[in-house]
Formats: sequence, C-alpha cells, structure tokens
Amino acid sequence: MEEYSITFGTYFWLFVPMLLVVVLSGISWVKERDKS
Amino acid sequence: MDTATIITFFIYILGMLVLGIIGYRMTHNLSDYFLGGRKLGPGVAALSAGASDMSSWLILGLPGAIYLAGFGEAWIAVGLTLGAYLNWQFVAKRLRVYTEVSNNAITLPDFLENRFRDNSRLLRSASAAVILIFFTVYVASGLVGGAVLFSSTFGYDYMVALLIGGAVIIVYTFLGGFIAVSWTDFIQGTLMFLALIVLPIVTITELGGWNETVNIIGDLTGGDHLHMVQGVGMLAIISSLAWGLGYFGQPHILARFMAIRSHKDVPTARFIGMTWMVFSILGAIFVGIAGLAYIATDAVQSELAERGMETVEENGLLMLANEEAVFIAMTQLLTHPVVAGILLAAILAAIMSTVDSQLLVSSSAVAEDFYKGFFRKQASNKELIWVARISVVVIALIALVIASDDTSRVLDLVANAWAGFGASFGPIILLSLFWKRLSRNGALAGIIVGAVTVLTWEYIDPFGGLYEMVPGFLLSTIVAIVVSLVGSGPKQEVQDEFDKAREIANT
Repeated sequence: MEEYSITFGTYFWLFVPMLLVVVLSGISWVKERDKS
Repeated sequence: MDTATIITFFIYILGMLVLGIIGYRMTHNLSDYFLGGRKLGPGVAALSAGASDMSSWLILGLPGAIYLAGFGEAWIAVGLTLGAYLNWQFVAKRLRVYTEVSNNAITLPDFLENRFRDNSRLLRSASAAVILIFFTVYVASGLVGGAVLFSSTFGYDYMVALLIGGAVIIVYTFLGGFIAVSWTDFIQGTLMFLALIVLPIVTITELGGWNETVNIIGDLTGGDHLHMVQGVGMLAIISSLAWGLGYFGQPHILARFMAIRSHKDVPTARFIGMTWMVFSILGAIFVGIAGLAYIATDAVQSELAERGMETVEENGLLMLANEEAVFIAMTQLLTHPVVAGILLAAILAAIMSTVDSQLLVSSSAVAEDFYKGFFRKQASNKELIWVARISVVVIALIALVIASDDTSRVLDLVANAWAGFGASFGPIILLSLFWKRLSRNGALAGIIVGAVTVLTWEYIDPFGGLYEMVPGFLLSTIVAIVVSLVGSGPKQEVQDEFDKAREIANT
C-alpha cells in the first residue's frame, strides 16, 4: 500500500482556528470569574 | 436491527415525551412557553444553543459532506466555529440586556418593534414573514434527517419513516414548549457530544490507527480527500467560510441568548458552548473521513448488504447511496447494540431539538406577530398558547410536504434557510445592537433586501456557485446603512434606551 500523509496546511486550518476560539473563550471566562 | 437497540431507542424517546409532559404542566404564561421565563443557567443555555443550532446538520450533513468529498468540505466547519464565537462574544450579552430593557421583548420581531418604537407593525410583519418562510424550510431539513434515520435504521420506506419521525417531533413540541425544550436540548447536547467523540476513535482504532486510515483513504481516492487547501477553489472556500455570518441572524439561537438567566452568565456559557461545539464538529469531520475508509472495506460492504443499506459505485468506489447516513451506518456496524440504541436516539434527539425550537419560534411569530398583532389585540395568554400550538402542527405539515421529496438532502435545505436568516436578520441585529443611528426604515429595507437576495440569488448568480449568504449579507448591510443615513435620526427615547442597554451590558 502506498504511503499517504496529510499536509501541514490541512492540519493547521482544521485545528488552529477551532482551538483558538476555545482558548480565547476560556481566557475571558477566567477573567470574568476573577472580576466577580 | 437488534432487539436491544430497539428497546434502548424507544426508552429514550419515551423519556423525552415524559419530559415534554412535565414541561406542559410547568407552562404558565407565554414568556414561560417561549423563553422558560429567562431562567436558564449558563450550561443549559450553552448546550441548548448548540444542540438547537447543529443537530441534523452536525450528525448527518457534515459527516456526509466530508465522507463524499473529503477535508475540502471542512471549511464550512471553520467558518461556523468562528461565526459562533463572534456571536457569543458580541451579540449574546448585549442582546440579553437590550431585549429586557426594550419593554421585555420575548421574540425577535418583538425586539425589533420595541427597539425602533415602530407603531406601523411593518417591521414586525416583515420579520415574522421571514421567520415563517425560512423556518418552514429549516423544519423540512430536520424532517428529512428524521426520515434518513428511520429508513436506514429500521428499513422503512422513506415516506413511512418521514411520517413516523414527524409525528414524534410534533407531539413532543406541541406538549412541551420552551422549558421542556431547553432541558431536553441539554440532554441531547451531551449525548451528541459523546457520540461524536467516541465513534471516530472506535473506527480509527478498528482500522489500525490514524496513519493506516490515511493510507486507506489515499488509496481509495488517490489522495484527493486528504487536502483542505490544495485543489479547493477560492470561491468554494469563501462560500464555506461565509456560513459563519449566518449566526448573527438565527432566531432560534438568539432566543437562547435572550433566555439566559443573567448577562453575567454569558462568559461561562460561551466557554461551555464553544468547547462543546469545537469538539463535536471535529468529531463529525472525523466520522466522515474515517467512515470513508471503513465502509469501503469488503467485509463491511457485505454486512451493509445484509442490513439492507443501499450502496452505489462512484468512480470505482463503493459508497452509501445516501452519504448522509454515514454516522448511522457506522453506529450500527461498530458498536454494541445497546450503545447503538443510545447513539441512534442521540441522532433523533438532536433532530428533535432543532425542529422543536424552530417550530416554537415560528409558532410564536404566528401567535404574537400575526394573530395578536392583527386579529385579536386583546387575546389572552391562554388563547395565544393555543394559537401557538395549532401553528406548530400547521407549519410542520407544510414542512412535511417539502421533505416528502426523497432526493432532499439535509445540507442543501439547511444551507438555504441558514442564508435566509443570516442575510435578513444578521446585519440588522448587529447594527441594532451597535449602531445608534440605525432607523426603522433602514432595518426594514435591510430585512427585505436580505431575504429577497437569498431567495433569488440562485437564478442570477454571475459567479457560478457563490453561496447566497455573501451577496445577501452585504446588500442587506449596505441598504440598511444607506437608508438610515438618508432619513432623519432616531427619536431621543430610542437613543436613550440604546445607551441604557449599552451601559448595563458593560457592567
């Protein structure tokens, strides 16, 4: 069987935007919690 | 189908109906019925916003598209994730506060009318008409999802499956209203999440790991399905990302924001909601991609034939006849019968959660905006609840007619309804919340132009395949701004109320 792989570009566009929004919403949740 | 699967499946549905009945007994007035009395905690609000939003699209549509065309289809998921985040970030808190300040508006047409002090009822009628048109299409997409589920699971004919699924959903919505709906959405949201995480992991393990799965897909498709950038056109990427714009105008999702207990709960709800969404979406993508590798194996093909699932040969590759049944097929092939029963119930649950909340918002448009607005200004709450319930049945029947075409796909119907709301309400909600100068006429013109563009774009598209959301959203925004600037500015009381909402939201 031939070897195939997934490109960096695919992994990047698939994971980075998605994980970014989780991190950003996590940060603002922690900030709000500390404020109150 | 295994007996254990069937028993588990029906116990779940029965449980949902019981919750519906409990909801019915707890419903005292219209605000209870539509918004659960603005008492939702952050967890319930987040997951019910997610479950009511995603559902059949997430479990049938997205895995189906990835199964058929590979990672290139994942741009829709990226666009939606970014759109959902921005919606939580900018719209949720301000809308929650503004709807309460603006004479305690409980529906979107209510809010627009109060926000602009519109006594003509033009704004209310236009927005209620948009809600009725596009939710009927949306409900049809959910019913198609239910039919795919019942036909591929129990082997029923498409029409029989459509009628059974439709009946379950209508009875449940008819009885419950929003309290039951939000709580059951929370349960569906949790189940969907677990199902979407577990299934691709089981499949990839079964195939011998991730590298092996990638090699199988590469062999089957010549590597085409493995790329998200290479070989995918710019127009397709823009169209897919534009799905994200749709979030700002979806009445069923905005209703969850309006129902949250306090605007101070929004950051918690946003974090829960986004975490749920990202992991569910990634799960759905991997269900599609792993399903392609798994279903093409010879042993599985014969098992599919035994279970009566239709397959077709495309470019030398054997695939499911209806690509949107990929999750359902894998559930039955790979999991223990009891687990399969729970997962299949999760799919029906997901579909129910979306259809019922859409039916509720549409029925509120009929009861509040048309019936009370035009025919019976003095109608009592009890009378309005009954009008809403009867509307649920009528709208669902029209949707059943649309869904009765067995070549319908969840993804296509959702795309149209999603663009309809996104383009007509999206720009107006954003401008209403953040631009004091927006006038009644500007909002009205924006809503109409957005809706008309989406309905007609298919026939005039000069780009050959640009998603109607893009021109609809842009034109609606431009028209709303220009018409507002040409006319006189809003009254002082409207401006004061805008400032008050902004002040509270910033605390």
